[in-house]
Amino acid sequence: MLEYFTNPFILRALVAIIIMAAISGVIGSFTVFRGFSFLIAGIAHSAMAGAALAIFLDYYQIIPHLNPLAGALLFGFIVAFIVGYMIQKNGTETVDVAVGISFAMSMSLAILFISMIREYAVQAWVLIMGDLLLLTVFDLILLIIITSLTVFLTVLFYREMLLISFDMEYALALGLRVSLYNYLMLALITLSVIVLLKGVGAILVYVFLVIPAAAANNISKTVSMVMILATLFALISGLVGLFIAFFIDVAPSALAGLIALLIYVITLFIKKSS
Amino acid sequence: MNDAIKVEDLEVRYGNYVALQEVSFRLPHPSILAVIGPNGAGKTTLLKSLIGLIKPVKGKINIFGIDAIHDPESVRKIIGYVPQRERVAEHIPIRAKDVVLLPKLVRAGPLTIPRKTDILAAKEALETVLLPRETWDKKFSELSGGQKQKVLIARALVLQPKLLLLDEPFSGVDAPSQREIMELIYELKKENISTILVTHDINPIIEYIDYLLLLNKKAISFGVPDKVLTEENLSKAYGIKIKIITHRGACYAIIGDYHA
Repeated sequence: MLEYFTNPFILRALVAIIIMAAISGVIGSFTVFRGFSFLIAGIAHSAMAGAALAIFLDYYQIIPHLNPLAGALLFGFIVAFIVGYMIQKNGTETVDVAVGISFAMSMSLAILFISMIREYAVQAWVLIMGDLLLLTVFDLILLIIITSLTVFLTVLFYREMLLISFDMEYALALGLRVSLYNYLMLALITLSVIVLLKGVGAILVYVFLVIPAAAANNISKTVSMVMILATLFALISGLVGLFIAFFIDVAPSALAGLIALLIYVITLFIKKSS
Repeated sequence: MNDAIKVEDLEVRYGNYVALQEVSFRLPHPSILAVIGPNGAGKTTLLKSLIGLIKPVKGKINIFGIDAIHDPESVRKIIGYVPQRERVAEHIPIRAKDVVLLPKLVRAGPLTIPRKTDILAAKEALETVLLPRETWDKKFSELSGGQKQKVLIARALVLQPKLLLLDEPFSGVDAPSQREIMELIYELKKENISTILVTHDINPIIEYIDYLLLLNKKAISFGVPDKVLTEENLSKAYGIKIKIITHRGACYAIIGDYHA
């Protein structure tokens, strides 16, 4: 058992879970406050299409050595920008429509590109499934940089983002540059999703970013408590998932997702009983 | 007496759709103005124009001597705005004290630590709207409709405005709380704060207001309530026959079926 926890793959996964829990606590909370849960799925899937395009461009030597992450970032930011524009023009109510359209377009493109790069499609599939145990040192460094940036900017503009989340119209009337903060929030969400992709995959990034915060929101008395509990729930889900994966040969990210869902159900019962 | 607001020939469009047209009125300071009219009459549009959230295509808005169209930043510093409560995200577990403190802290800039004077001002604002002390630590979502509305008014008052704009403040608020809010607005007038409020139901507030603006895209009528509340004006605004009865010197509009 000791060997298991001194294994470099496991150690990297452990560090990744701790960092990802911090992102989940901070960004996940604002995602739930703003009602942007579906956006997470939209960005994750568009990032998939972007990664597949990057692999396609590399495969056919159109842009050699193009990193799939660059494609994922480009497509993720395009969706975030479209959503930001829709909010600015028509209000938050239209976000789901914008994400839904981007979602459909992204998945169609992702499948199209993957079908054209059959031999290398596995690189794109890694981003769909994710694997905590396959994270490299580079992935960890990226995770640490993005998390530090995200947490720093969220702490810096915490009050502005909270006021906009709570009452956007009042924030506008107060003279706050709401669209600037909206774009900042969307950029931070996009970065968080993409940096989590390789670890937990496009499907489970939603579970990891949204469910712990939604569970925390069910039982918290204050905004800071949501962030603390969300971090804790994400941490518990990730660590227990990794631990169980030691005994059963299944993906730890999938187990983490199931545990996060279990925590969510428990918080629902607590909310109903209080 | 100075004017709180002077609006001249205001016209607002959303693309080709005319939301407001030929709206002119002068509101002396301090006074209470109620804006009434059917759905889609442009009531909220008028409030948003006053605070610079919507740019009119024509006309002038002057608020305490400031050109509100060209200098919305300055106008926002003297206006306390209370938007419709339905738009507030109540699923966020924010406490009443945070709701009231946030505007002060946001104005102070990032990472500002709340000063004692800020906290005192927020507590005073909650006291002004007659909320009990224990409200301070309560979750906003756990308050009653009337208490929530009062917290939002306290949030507007904490920045010491000269003019309050309230959009549908009585929506989801019971009759006793409506009365409390109107009495509060009446007291604020004594402290030199003017108020403009948009409402659907004029009857519960008629004894408190100084002026009434009847709106249906155009200003159908503006003036003291007795002059505005005529069957002719109301029928013109709402497109249906409306009966007016007077009781103890006050006019009441009866909308709906009635028989002689």
